[in-house]
Amino acid sequence: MGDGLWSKWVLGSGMVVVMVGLAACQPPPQRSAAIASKVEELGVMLDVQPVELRVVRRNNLLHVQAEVFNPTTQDQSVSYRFRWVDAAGFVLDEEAWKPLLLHGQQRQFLRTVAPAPQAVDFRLEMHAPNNSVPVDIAANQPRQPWNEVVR
Amino acid sequence: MRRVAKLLVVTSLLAGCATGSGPTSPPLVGGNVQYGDAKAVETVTNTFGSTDLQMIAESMTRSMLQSPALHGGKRRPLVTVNEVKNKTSEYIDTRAITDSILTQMTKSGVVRFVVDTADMQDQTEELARQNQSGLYKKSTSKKMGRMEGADYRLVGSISSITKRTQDIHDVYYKFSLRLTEIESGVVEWADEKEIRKTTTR
Amino acid sequence: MGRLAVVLVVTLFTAGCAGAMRSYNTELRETTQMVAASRPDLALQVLEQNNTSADKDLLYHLEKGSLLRLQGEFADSRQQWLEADRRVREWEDLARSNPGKLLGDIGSLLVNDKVRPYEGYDYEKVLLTALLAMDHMALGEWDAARTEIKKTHEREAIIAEFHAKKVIQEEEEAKKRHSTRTVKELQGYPVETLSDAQVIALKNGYQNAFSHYLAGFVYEALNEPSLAAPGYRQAIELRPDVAVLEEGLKQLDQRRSRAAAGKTDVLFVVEGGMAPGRSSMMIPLPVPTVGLVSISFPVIPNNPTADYRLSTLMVDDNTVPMALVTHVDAMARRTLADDMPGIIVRSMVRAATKGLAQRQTNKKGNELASLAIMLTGLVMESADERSWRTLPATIQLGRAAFKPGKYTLRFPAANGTLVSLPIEVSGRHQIIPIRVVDNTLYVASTPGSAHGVVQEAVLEKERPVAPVGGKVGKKKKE
Repeated sequence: MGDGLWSKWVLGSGMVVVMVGLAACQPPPQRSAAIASKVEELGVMLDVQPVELRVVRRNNLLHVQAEVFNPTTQDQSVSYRFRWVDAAGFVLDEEAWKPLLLHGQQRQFLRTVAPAPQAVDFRLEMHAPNNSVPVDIAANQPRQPWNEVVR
Repeated sequence: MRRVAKLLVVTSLLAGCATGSGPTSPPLVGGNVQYGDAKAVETVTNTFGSTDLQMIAESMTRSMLQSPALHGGKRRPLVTVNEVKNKTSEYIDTRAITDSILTQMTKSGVVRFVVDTADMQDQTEELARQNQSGLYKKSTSKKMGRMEGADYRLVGSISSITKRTQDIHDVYYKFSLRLTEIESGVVEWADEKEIRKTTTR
Repeated sequence: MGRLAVVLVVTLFTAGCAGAMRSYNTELRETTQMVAASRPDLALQVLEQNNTSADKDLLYHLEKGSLLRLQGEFADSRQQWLEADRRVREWEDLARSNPGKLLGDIGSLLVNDKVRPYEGYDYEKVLLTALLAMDHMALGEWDAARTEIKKTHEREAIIAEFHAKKVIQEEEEAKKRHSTRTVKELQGYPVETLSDAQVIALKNGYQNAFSHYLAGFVYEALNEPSLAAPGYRQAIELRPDVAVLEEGLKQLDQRRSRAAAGKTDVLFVVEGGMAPGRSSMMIPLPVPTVGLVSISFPVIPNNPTADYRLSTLMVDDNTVPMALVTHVDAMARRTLADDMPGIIVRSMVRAATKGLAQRQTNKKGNELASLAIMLTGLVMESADERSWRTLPATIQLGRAAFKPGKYTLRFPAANGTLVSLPIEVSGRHQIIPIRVVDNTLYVASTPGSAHGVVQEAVLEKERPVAPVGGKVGKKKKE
């Protein structure tokens, strides 16, 4: 992992062109296995990272808290939604996409409750229109079990 | 002859008979219509939009589901929707928001709803028809005086603050909702959802 | 022989352009007189005579809808206005999807405004749907009225956005052409018509308090208070300090209990006079490299029919306070005031082109060409006179609750004579439209909303109550 490259990129001069150029040859940022299994990104978000997930069952309803972090110094906007799955693996009703603004270096908590008691599992769908890059389809590599989140 | 032609060109330019050049109608098929994601984040203008409606309904439902008042009783509590007052000067159909909340709450299976004031007219008319028109079988016509009273009522309001300069248009919405126990008048649950939208030219 | 043919060709060519030769003022003079003389049927005949081509324009449908409405033919009136509305929606679609094209058309420098197809002024587009809603309600179709009401505020939003773009474009155009001329610099132009108190009081040229109040009333009738409130609120914002409008919002909650007491909420809509026309005024302007050129500008002449005011209506022994909520006359003048900078820039450029062409042909000594240019010049240089003339000049509102039944309505007409008319109050909510043109009154007996009341909506036709000085006066003598 090119540490120097990464920090250069985090410091992220506002020049989008430069960033995209770098992103093309940049390995995707790393996530823990637990997070990677629950978070589905549309493309790969480079500037916003899901950092931590907590799940608990109260009042027969699944409570979820996800922490996201914006390591850059610019404001970043992402959209997210949760997808709820029942015991048989069926998806419950679709949620609406929710916009979220993250200031530079900000951590935010996405907190929610399952819409119904039958929800036993969930996925967090995230999408950042400005900073996601498509996965390298040519390589057809499955997402690697990433190491600890790179800071 | 050439001179005449030139003359005509000049004339037509000056008089500019544009009567024939109305907008041409688009073809019946193959225009720029496509179906979109009904749940997508909509940022076309900064007036109250579908994303705001969905976010408010969802955040209110999820918050209400956590209220201890709705859990633990022997039977599922009965709720009725009163009015959500629109205190903005925008034409926001708050009924569309409360309808979404009602749908999501019903689907959760935690509460049940009873007929609200707006729906009452149809309900009483239907009951009256079954009982008074003499057209229905006695055994299947529903009895009068058997409607169930709600345990809780939902009231709320939406208000906005808008600020505008030459280049920036900022809107702030605040939607608040309260669940009041009807017998005691105790507010069992309340929550707010705030939304800020800014447009820069 | 050859020469004569050419002259004929040129003349025919210019004459064939019907739009260019049209004088809308002349066309509509007789029509409006007929309306004032309580003969809307003859007025309609005159309108048809003036629009013989198969290809009718927006303006024709607007005027015809108004005239049919005055005759009480609400269904036919609605049909005409729906056709007009379809055309306005085409404009809306363009304004949304391709505003650049519309702006380009407006900014087109070589084309005189009057030869462009009539697009309708923004205030007309907004009032069209409000009046359409009134037609629906006159036919007892309140749910259809709700659709029109919703369209009204959506249309307003589109216009607002387009308007903002237009202002920016015109500012840029003026900067590019180094044209800083304002109306004040036009020698002899009646500037005061564009800047009197009524015009200055307006927030803009297209929003009107009546449409929003009507929206409030319709939503309230359909039991949607959350949508009624912003209607009343916006009406107040557009016309502050009018008691009738303020009561609309303040008593929104109380009125619901009143409806339970079996009373009908009646809205009296008094439409007064005729919207102003436009005429042309020649003003000599110095045009660089050419010299003094006479250019015609549109002027809105004084419109005395806009002065009709009612302070109260009498319904049996009850007094209903009335208030002026929409001044269409002032809106027309505000619209012209907003358009003037653009008109001036375009006229100047056109004048320069025309002057140059004329000078060159004069130099060459080609009389024929010079004549042709003068001919086209004459045609070009009269301003665009078109506008929806059968719209009312003012709209006044009053509101009160009555028990259903028959009442006598009394109020002074334009010449001060007290007139009395029978009305019938029914339903939960009801609108009673009254049109006063000079001394002729048109009152429609419309059904109340059946929302919540199971009853047959009985429709009576609107009938003109002939000139106050005439029939009513005679009756008194008998």
